[in-house]
Amino acid sequence: MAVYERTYRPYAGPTTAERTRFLVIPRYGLRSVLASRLITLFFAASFLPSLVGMILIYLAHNATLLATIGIDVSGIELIGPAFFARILTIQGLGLGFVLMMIVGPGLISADVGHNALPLYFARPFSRFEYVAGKITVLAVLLSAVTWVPGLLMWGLKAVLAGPTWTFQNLRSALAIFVGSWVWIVVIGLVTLAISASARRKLTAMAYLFAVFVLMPVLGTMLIEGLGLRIGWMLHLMAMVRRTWEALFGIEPSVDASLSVAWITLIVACAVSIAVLARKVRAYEIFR
Amino acid sequence: MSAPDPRPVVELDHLDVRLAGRPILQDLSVSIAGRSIGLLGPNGAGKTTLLHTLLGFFPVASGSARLLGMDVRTETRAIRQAVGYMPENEAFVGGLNAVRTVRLLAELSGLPPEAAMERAHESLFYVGLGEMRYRRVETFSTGNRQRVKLAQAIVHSPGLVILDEPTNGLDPPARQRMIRLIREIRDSGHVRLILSSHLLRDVEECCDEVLVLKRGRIAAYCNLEEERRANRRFLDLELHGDHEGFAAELSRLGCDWAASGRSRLKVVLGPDVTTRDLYRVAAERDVHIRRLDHKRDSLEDIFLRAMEDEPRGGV
Repeated sequence: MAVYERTYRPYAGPTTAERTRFLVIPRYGLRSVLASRLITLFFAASFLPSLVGMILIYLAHNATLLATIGIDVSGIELIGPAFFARILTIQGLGLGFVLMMIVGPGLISADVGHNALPLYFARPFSRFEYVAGKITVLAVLLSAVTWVPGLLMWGLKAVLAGPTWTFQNLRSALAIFVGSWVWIVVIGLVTLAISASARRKLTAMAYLFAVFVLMPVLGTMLIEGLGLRIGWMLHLMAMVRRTWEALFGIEPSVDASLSVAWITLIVACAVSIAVLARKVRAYEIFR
Repeated sequence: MSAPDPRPVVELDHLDVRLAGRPILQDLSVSIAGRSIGLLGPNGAGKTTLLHTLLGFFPVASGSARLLGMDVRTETRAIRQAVGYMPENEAFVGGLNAVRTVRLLAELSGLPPEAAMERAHESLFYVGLGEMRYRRVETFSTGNRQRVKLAQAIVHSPGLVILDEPTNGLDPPARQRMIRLIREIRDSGHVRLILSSHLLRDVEECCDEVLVLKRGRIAAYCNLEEERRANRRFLDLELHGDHEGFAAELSRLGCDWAASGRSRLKVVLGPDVTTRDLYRVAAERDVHIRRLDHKRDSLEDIFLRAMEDEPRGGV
């Protein structure tokens, strides 16, 4: 029917599969996010550390060739777990976090602020699917700056170094993948919980800054000032880093036990899920 | 027009709803099968809570509630597939224009992207926003935002549209446009309506059946269509002359009557009697009919009576 014919007619066509319907949310979400030139530029810039890493890997494998033209690259020969962990830290905990600070706060707060949740949930679309859709937006963006370039870098090294190195360093590939997903799940849930708790993007940004920047400062004060090691539990990024170091099998840079790190991350996820369960609903019931 | 759906739209059986420990709806029992149902009641009567319960937003404390024959506790997803909902408060998806908003919500109802896009354009044209459909919803006036809400409620072709205070915040011309749209949707025959409002005129203009709520209980139920039919034959006459002889003649014609004052009669016309017959009898008896009103119980009368009476437990 031509759109200008103003009559109401029923729809009798096919419908989409229910199990994949949540993917509508990331499709719209990513399009909105990447509509911003600033975010797109930053997103592209997030690949730079991996690009530099790949160049270093390439140079390390062509040291003899480069030596003939007078360039000494002997200092970058040792490419192993620590190298990949360092690049992942810069990409994930550094640039990935900034990306989350820009993108994440508005994901649910915009819907809460504009009272859009009843529009979503009056449809055959559950709260779980809504959260799954929103976290997929973050997961796609973070994957693109963490494990995807990380594994590409590892793959390049494997191609250049041969099977012996590849088998000896399978653990690094696994650590890149698993470590990245630990971070994606933790920051994804925490960001969404914070976003659901605020009605404005700026407020949610402030909360996120408090959780990831101010709380660690408080934690450090507790550890160094009062000697309370429980302060580590306020330092989410350090705890993620501690788990990564364990996954890569390298010396820990954080003076906290691995179990404390895992417990902290699990508690953060559990609290975030509880907040989401309470806040993400068509209408909140006030007591 | 398609054949009417025989299922009752709303079936409540001793429904109780408690929110934060407080009883909001108490012991509601009713079965309504009408094409357009009005929910009337003063603010705080429980209209919106009832709608939210039917949509599965609020839990049922006891009793049961069914919408289009589906249990609101166990068949929430199927209910939401069959229903379009226009919420009371301002509601829109931020950052999107009208087409993308309606398309997104259509896709969430299961329409494939291309069909959702086509239906979004159609719905927006239908509600009169065709020229503005590429503008961001944030920039719309209240009236146009209401129309976007209506467009998203009908885009996926639901069998039942629930409208919660659809004329909220509208100026008189915008209200008239909204009422006209709602009546058009109702008259299309494809959709049933539940309209919640505290405005009697909205309900009277759009609905066939009315449920009046008061303090979380059913205060009255009325089938406006039947009332209108019944009242069509109920006349209030003011006479001058031999009104007793006139009344006796009416009895012979098969009309019921009752005197109300010295020169006034209330008459229920017999099945084959028309007002023309009354004028004929009056002329034969040399009685002057000074006033003739088609008396009807207006919704306002029904509502006011319901507000005065003690609430009833069920209908």
